[in-house]
Amino acid sequence: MSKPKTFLVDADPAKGFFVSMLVKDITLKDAIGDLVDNSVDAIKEKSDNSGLSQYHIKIDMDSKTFSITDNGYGMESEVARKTAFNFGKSDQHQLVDYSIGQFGIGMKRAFFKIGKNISVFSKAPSSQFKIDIDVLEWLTKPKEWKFHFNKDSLKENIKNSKSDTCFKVNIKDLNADAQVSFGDPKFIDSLIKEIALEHMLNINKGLRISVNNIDLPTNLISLVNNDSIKPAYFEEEKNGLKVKILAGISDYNADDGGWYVFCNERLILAKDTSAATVWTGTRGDGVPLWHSQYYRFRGFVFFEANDSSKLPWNTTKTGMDVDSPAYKNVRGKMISMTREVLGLLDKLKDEKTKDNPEENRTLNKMVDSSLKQKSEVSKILNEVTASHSSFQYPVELYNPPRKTNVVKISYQVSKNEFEPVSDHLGSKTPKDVGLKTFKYFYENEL
Amino acid sequence: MSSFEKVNYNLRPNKSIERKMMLEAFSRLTYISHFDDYRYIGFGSAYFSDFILFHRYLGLQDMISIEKEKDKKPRFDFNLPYFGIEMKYGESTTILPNLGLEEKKSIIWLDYDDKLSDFMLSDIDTVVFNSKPGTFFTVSFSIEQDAKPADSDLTIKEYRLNEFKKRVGDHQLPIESMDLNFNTKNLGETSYKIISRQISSSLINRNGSSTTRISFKQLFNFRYRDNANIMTIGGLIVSPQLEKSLKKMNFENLSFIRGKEDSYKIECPNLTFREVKALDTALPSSLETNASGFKNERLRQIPLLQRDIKNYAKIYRYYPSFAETNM
Repeated sequence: MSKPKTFLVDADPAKGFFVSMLVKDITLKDAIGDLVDNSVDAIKEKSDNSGLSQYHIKIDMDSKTFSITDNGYGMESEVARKTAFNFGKSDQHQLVDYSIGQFGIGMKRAFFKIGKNISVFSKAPSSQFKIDIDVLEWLTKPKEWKFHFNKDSLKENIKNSKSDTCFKVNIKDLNADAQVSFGDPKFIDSLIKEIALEHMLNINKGLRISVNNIDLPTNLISLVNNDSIKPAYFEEEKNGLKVKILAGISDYNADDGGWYVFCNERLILAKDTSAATVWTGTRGDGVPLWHSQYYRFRGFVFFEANDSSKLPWNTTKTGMDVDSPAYKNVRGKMISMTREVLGLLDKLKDEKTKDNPEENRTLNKMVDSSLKQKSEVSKILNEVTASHSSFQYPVELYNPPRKTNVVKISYQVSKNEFEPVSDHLGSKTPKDVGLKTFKYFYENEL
Repeated sequence: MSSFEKVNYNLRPNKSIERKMMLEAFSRLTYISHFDDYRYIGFGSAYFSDFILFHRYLGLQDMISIEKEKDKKPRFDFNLPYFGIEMKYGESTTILPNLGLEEKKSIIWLDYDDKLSDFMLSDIDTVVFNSKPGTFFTVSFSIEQDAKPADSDLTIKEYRLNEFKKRVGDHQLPIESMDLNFNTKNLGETSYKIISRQISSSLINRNGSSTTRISFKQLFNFRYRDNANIMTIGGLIVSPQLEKSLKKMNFENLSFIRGKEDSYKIECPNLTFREVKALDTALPSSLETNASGFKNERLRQIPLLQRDIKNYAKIYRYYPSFAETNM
């Protein structure tokens, strides 16, 4: 018996519209990042604590195809059936502990962003399957939101050897923007650099990630940590969200300074110098705007949550959820720790003013030589003993210029008049010419 | 001091050969249109060697020289060899976008003295993104390896990497080059890579979703050394309509044309006038040798190294004749 048709309202969103909205808000790099995150989750599900050196995520792309393969846990057919290929995860979905792929939408969104012909193969410990998706055909069936396992590919209640499990995605019929970008060496290069940063902690643990056969490099992050300069440290655990914060100094470098924020070992904010962390300018609630005086500053925040829905990040994992109370609280801590370090950086600048002779800049000298004693951040974290310690530096070395009985004279003369005088005096610098001519006047005319 | 004050530009033999080779390639642009439709944009410095050559032999009338050293304006103005050359004082990065590159075909030669730097990449972007198809675009820069100062604590490799990063920026350095020692060879190869990536990226942006694809046909990849190692990359900005003319121009039959990463090396031997004269009367000729030297009797008689003779034979049509004169 069918219901009377006139009472039916079509509440299905148009699929085409839905898909186009879904992919609008994500960049190609972030889409690929989502797939990498899923691979990292699968690898962590399989690994014990002995490091990640036998794991590999392999990404290959050109203007025609894209593929990503990992030798992680694979995806059980049951997970594929009930959750992974669903739009939005059901409540029953069991998240991997400390996962980074928590929003459920990520994998499908990435597929749609990249291309129209998608093929997924999974080999998990007790099942394996293949799913082929023809997006254009799928869009023509307005009410069907399912995908189908390929006939004969589905095997369940089997035993696959642990060393064999894997997950593979192949995408063909790339979308126009993917065709252009994947054929652009500059895009590939910046993608490599971005993934290398985002997963630096996992790569440091031995995980191999390669893009077009280029192994992603390790990025080491380090801070000065010796007897006289020690970074500020803070840790806390609240409602299942653990946070560790480190702030200190490192090389004077415009490209690397700022705050780094990690969520479950995935870098979310890199080298941040904006108001999203602490740099609001003096009129905001944070510290002054980022500028060259602060190039030595480095801060690191590590959020960890067994249940990744507790992490204060946004859905595209490109930034923090600045309204979340958990982040607000931590940000307050970051601001005060930044101020501790800026205390030193301000003093360094004071000491460096022109009228303070080089040999008097004792604090600067100390800091310059301390740069040879940097420690890797993971090592510092392993060595902490207290849950809270302030930034330490030898404040007694601070030696600002004294206001003495000196006057500064400054004037300009024409080059034609200057040259014969400087030749006569045998002086090279205008400063020297100025000093010598004044001295001459003082000794002979007064 | 600027480089024009350090060296007399007229006395750089390899550069002078390069200039004449470029002239020969440029002369084929007439297959696209008459030189009245072209404009020359370069860095004339105080010598204007390129301007003089291209005005004399191509008849280019519309010429612009970009000069950053504003405070030496009187000296540049004094040295202007022809009335038609327009001086533009300022940085290339701000001058180039204001020249209306999309309106008139140009021959552009950005002959930088320095090593590849970020501002050059933005100049390349300006030219490739905007220039009217038919424009011949060439860029020269130093690939001389960095010498480490005595007081640096870094290893030579670290020092060179740092200097390179400082010039072009972290993000421009290809990931696979991060481990290299940037001696002249690697600096050249990586600079080439960065430039060709910049060109293809600028073209991707320029073409957008439009169906007429503009492309870059690389024709120059020179390397030579007068007092520093120099690399020159150049080529033609091509629209589909120009493909036919491109065929007619038949660049492939010029020995020095290079379309990829391998360079044409200009190595000008130092020869006396008498030697030059003797060589010229024997050329062109096969350079085949046997046990007793060159098969060509005349060449065999000349008491020079085989290598020098072979190098000379490659470039003899472009060999500079320097003499002290009272002009």
